[in-house]
Order: sequence, then C-alpha cells, then structure tokens
Amino acid sequence: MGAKTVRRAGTGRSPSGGARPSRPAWTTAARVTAAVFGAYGFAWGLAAFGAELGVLIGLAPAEAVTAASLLSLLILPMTALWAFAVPRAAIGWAVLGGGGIVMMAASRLIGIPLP
Amino acid sequence: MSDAWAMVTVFGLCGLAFAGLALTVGRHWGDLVDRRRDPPRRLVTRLRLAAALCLAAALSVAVRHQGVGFGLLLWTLALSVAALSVAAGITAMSRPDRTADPR
Amino acid sequence: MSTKKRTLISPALRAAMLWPHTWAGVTLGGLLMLIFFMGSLAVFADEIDRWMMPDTRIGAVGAPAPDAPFSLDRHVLPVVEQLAAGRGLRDWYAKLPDARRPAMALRVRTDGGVSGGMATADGRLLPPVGTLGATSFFYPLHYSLHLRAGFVGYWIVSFATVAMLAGLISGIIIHARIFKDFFTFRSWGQLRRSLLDLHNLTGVLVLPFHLMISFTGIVIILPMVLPAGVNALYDGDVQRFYDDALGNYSRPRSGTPAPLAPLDPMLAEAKRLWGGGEAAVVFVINAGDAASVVRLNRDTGDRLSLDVEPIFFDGVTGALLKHQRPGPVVATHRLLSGLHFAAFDHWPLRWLYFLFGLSGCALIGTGLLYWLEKRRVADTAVVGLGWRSVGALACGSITGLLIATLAMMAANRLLPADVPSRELVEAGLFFLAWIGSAIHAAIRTRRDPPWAAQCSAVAALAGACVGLNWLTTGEHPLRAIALGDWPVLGVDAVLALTAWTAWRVARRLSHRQSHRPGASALTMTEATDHV
Repeated sequence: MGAKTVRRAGTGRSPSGGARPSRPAWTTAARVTAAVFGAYGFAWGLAAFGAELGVLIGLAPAEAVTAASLLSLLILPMTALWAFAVPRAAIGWAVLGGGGIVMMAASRLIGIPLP
Repeated sequence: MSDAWAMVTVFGLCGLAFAGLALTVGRHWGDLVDRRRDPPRRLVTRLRLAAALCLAAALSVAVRHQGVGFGLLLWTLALSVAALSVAAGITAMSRPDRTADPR
Repeated sequence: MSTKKRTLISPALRAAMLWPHTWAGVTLGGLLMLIFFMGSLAVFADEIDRWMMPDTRIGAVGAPAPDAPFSLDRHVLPVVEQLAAGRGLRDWYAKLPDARRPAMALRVRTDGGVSGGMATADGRLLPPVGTLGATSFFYPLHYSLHLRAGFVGYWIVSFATVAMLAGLISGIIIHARIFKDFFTFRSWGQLRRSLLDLHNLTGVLVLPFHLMISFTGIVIILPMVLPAGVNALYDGDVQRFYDDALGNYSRPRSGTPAPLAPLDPMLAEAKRLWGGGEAAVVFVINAGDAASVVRLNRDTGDRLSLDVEPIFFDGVTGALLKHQRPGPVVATHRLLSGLHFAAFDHWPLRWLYFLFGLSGCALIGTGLLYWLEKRRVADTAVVGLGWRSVGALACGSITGLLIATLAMMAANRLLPADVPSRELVEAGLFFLAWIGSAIHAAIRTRRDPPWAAQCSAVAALAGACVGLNWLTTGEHPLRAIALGDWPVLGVDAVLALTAWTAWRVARRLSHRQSHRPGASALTMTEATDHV
C-alpha cells in the first residue's frame, strides 16, 4: 500500500469521528514506525535485559533467555498498539525507542560473561 | 465407545450452557421467546447459574477423561464450537421470514 | 454496558485502535490468509501426503503391524546404504513409520549431495515419490514462504503474525457490544452488516484459538526472530543456546574413520530412559567417523508438549552421551510449541485445529470483504485504484489460493512419473496457477472481483482431483473404505465437499449478479469455510 491510500484514510471520511480529524502523513508514518520498529526495539531491550537479570537472580542461562523472550513477545503486540493509542506520536517513540535503548544499554552494563 | 460418549457429553454440555446464555441476551430472547418483554431478572440469574454449572461439568468430564492438558485444550476449543453452533441455530431460527420482523 | 466498562475502554481508545486494525488487515490480510490456510492444511499434512504419494498408501505398503519386530540395523541401515549409493556418507536421518505414515522417510547427506527417499517398514526402498507433498511444500509455505535464505520468510511470517495478534487485541477493543452481539449473525438484509457479524463472530467466539495459535506460532521460532537474549548471554550463538536449552549435542567430525555400533541396543536403552514411548526419528551425525553421534527423538503423540526428549549416543562405542531434561521455563516453551504443532495423536483435536484454522481464514476474509463493501458504500460513484487493488488481493488470496492448491494436486495426479524434477514442476504449477488467478482477478475486477468465475474454477479443479485420484490410482471411495485407507478417503471427501460448495456458490453468484450486484460476497466467505 502506498502512502496515498494511507493518507486517504486519515483525511477522508474517517470513522474515528472527532478523535483525530485529520492527520498529516508524517504523523501517521511516525506512529507506524514506532509501532513496528519502536515496539520491536523495546521487546529486544526487554529480552536482553530480562535475560541478564534472570541470570543475576539465579536462573540457568537458557531458562532466563526463554523467560525474557516469552515475556517480550507477550508485550510486543500490546506496545505496538499502544503506539497508536498515545496522544502524541513523539511520546510513543520516546518511550518505546528510549526504553529499548536504555534496557539494551543496561544489559550491556550487566554484561554477564559466557556460561 | 466411552471415548465418543465423553466427547458428546463435553460438547453437549457446552452447547447447553451457551444456549442458556443466549436466552439471557435481549435480542435473542425477543426473537425466540417474547418480543414484548425483556427476560425476567430471576430467569436470567438462573440461566447464568445453570450455564456456569454446565461449563464446569463439561470441564470436569474433559479433564477426567483426557487428562489435564488435553482436557483443558479440548474444553477451550469445545467452547468455541458450542458458541458457534448456538449462533448458527439462532440465525436459522430468527430469520426474518420466520419471525416476520426484519430488523 | 456498565459505566466501569466505559472508563476501561474509552471512545478515544476505540477510535485510535480502528486505524491500525483496518490497515494492518488490508495490507497483511492476503499474507495472513496464506499462512492460516497452509497452516490448516499442515494439520493433515500426513494425510495429504498419502493422497499425493500413492506408493506410500496403506494399500501399497501394507499397514504397519504393531507387534512386528522392527530393527534399525536390519531395516533402516540397508536403505541408507542404498540411498548413499557408494558415495561417502556424512549424516542421515530416518523418520520411523507410524500409523499416519506407514512408510519411513529418509534423508541422506553424502559427499556427492543430498538424497531422500521412502521405504517400507521392512526395509524395501520405494520408487521416488516425485512430489514435495504437503510436508515439504504446503507446510514450509506456512512458516517460511519457502524463503529460507537468511530466514527472510520466517521474519515476514512472524511480522504478519504479530500484526495478527495486534489485530485480534485491537478488534476486541473496537468491538463495542461484545456480549450483546455475542451470538448474533444476521445472514439477511444488508451484506455489509452480515459480513461484520461474521467477522465479529469468528473473531470473538474463536478468539481463544486464534490468540493461542498466533502466539505459539512465533514462540516456536522465537530465538530466531528475537535473538536479543541469545545475543546477550550466548554471544549470538543460537546452536549453543539450543544445545543448552533443549539438551542437544553436537561435535565436529574427527576425520578418523570408524564403524557404527549396532543401533538396536541404543534404541532399547532410549526406550528405557524415556520410560515407555516410541522412537520417532533416528539421526546419525558424522556417520562412519570416530566422532559419530546417534540421536533418537521420542514420539510426542501421547502428549501436548513438543518435548522430543532427545537422547545422544556415541556412534562408535554406543555409550550414552547426553540425556538432559529441560528446565521449567524451557518446558513451558516446549508445551507452547506443542500446542501449535498439534503433533499429538488426537483426532477430534486435529479436526478442530483444521476447522478453526479455516475459521481464521474466514475471519481475515470477512475483514477484507467488509472493508471493500464499506468503501463501496462510501464512494458510490468512483471505484478507485486502491479499491480495485484490495478487491483483486482479496480474490487472489481467497479463491486464487484455492485454485493454486487444487491445481497442484491435480498436476500431482496428471504428470507422468518420469518428468524430470517432477516435484519442482508441481510446485511451479502452484505458483503459476496462483499468479494466473491473481492476474485474472486484477484484470476482471471492475464493480466486483470475479468471484463467480474463480469459484467455478475451484469447483472444476476440486472435482477433477477426486476423479483423477480414482482414475490414476484406482482407489475410489468404496475401495478406500474396504482398505481402511481413511487418509485418502478423508482428502477425497473434503475435496468433494469443496467442489460441491464452490459450485453452489458460483451458481448462486452468477444467478444473483443480474439482480443485486455485489450482494454475493457473503457466500464467498461461506466457501472459504470448506477448505
């Protein structure tokens, strides 16, 4: 689908009523990218950080990796939808992208050596 | 043979439960029973209770007969089958050419 | 609806969810349709395989006798030697015969390339099957789209599946009157309303299955598509993670030749360690080498979990190398994977998985059709390029997919056995038929996609498949019953049902087209309910 059809949905006879009467294309793009890449980055950060944290609290490495990954997958669709629900796209990007980067950095800092 | 009977029991109980629940929904009560009044409050409570009992009984049969894992999975899927069948039945019974009230 | 509910899901949230729900559906609907449809077929992959590989049917190889002595050394090894044909053997595996596949399936990697084949339980190599069948074509299409390079297909499928999960959740949020409309399907009146009813019905009532199947689908390949944890703790070495998590074992080839120890004692030892249960697959890695490893997988037919409890033996000494049980979290992962795989031996559940998988197709299909109907009402005068594209996409992914699948099955019965690379010709015909019907849909979509014409094609092809199976194998329904060949009978029955339904839909569509243009897409979704 091209950007043309996307814009038509935003500016045309939008079923969303008065909630968001018209959206410029770049806001839509910001939300879509936040939902796709931001949410994935957040899930990535959580999976990495959670795995390190799991080992810190005494889980076996394979268990920690699996638990953190399952949890990340559980929240991934919800965070993706949340990127569309926040009042401003920028907040979505800040929380998802920022949160992802912070958690990735934290997991690097913990940096448990290979088992 | 007892395998087949357990299946019939699980699906039948789930179907009964959803049929009862469907009658507590105003639209279907109107189409199927009485268009002028809402379902009586006490009846709604009793139907819901009966439905809950049927679902619990179905779960217990499924778990007892199939074990916890298979029983739970079968029961969950049986819920969908039963609800879809009840919906299909309601559609067949409340077509406008039968109830003479195109809504 | 109580006030509490209203505060939980505000109208603003509902409105915000509509956009991603709609556009995720419109853009990824066709792909999701493919994934759900092929997944549904994969539930009966073994049965479709029997239909497509007549030499492996019960009538040809005989039913496996449960008490007949089966020996890896006497029945499997000679076939492996035959397949290797004198070339240096590197690795091989054999899927042992079971109730659904009365023949064993082998794959052998030699210095001169890979070869595969099937053999009877008593070790007679069968002629080449000449088809990828459902296990090697429909099923991989479901999870990898046959794009294996760099796992691109896995990534695309996972992305679409996350969108499916988001679509399910947002759909529940959007749906304002879940309980009032819980059982409501108004098949009469406005087509648009009927489509929405059906979309809601398949979405809400089958929600537990759809959530489960979408989530567990990604869970299976989670270390591949979300390798963050593996990167953090295992330095990105997925092999090492799997060795650790699933109790796998691997070691490199030593280069020193050494003979293989007898396999049957290892099989007996494995059964003892499993505490009952049958072996499903035997692998020999680094065959003929001093570092050879024998791996035995347990059959998971009696359990939900996909925990195959691999047991590893030293190929030269026959000593036990590794038998490691997974921890609780990994066991949960195996259970979730098993819920998706449905490898368990449970016929009612298998049929429910098949039907609910198709209900996923109905959910996606009605969503697409609803979008089309709604837009048609919105812009009465102009049917724009966007609308026509989505119309063609819907047609190509509903009837087009059926046409492609059936064309491949018909080709499977029509192509002579000696066609060079017969299996690739079959697969090529699948894609040709699909592209052909998509082009047909794109050209012929004006006020409506060409539903009637494509439904007629589906009916003709499905009917032809039943007839061709009879003509080319001589196995008509009565003979199948006499033989107790339920897989072939079942596939034939579903094909016949598809033909009958598609024919009725096509007739009704062409009949109605003169009276009410566009009033017939509903019956299309009924058609997708039957394969």
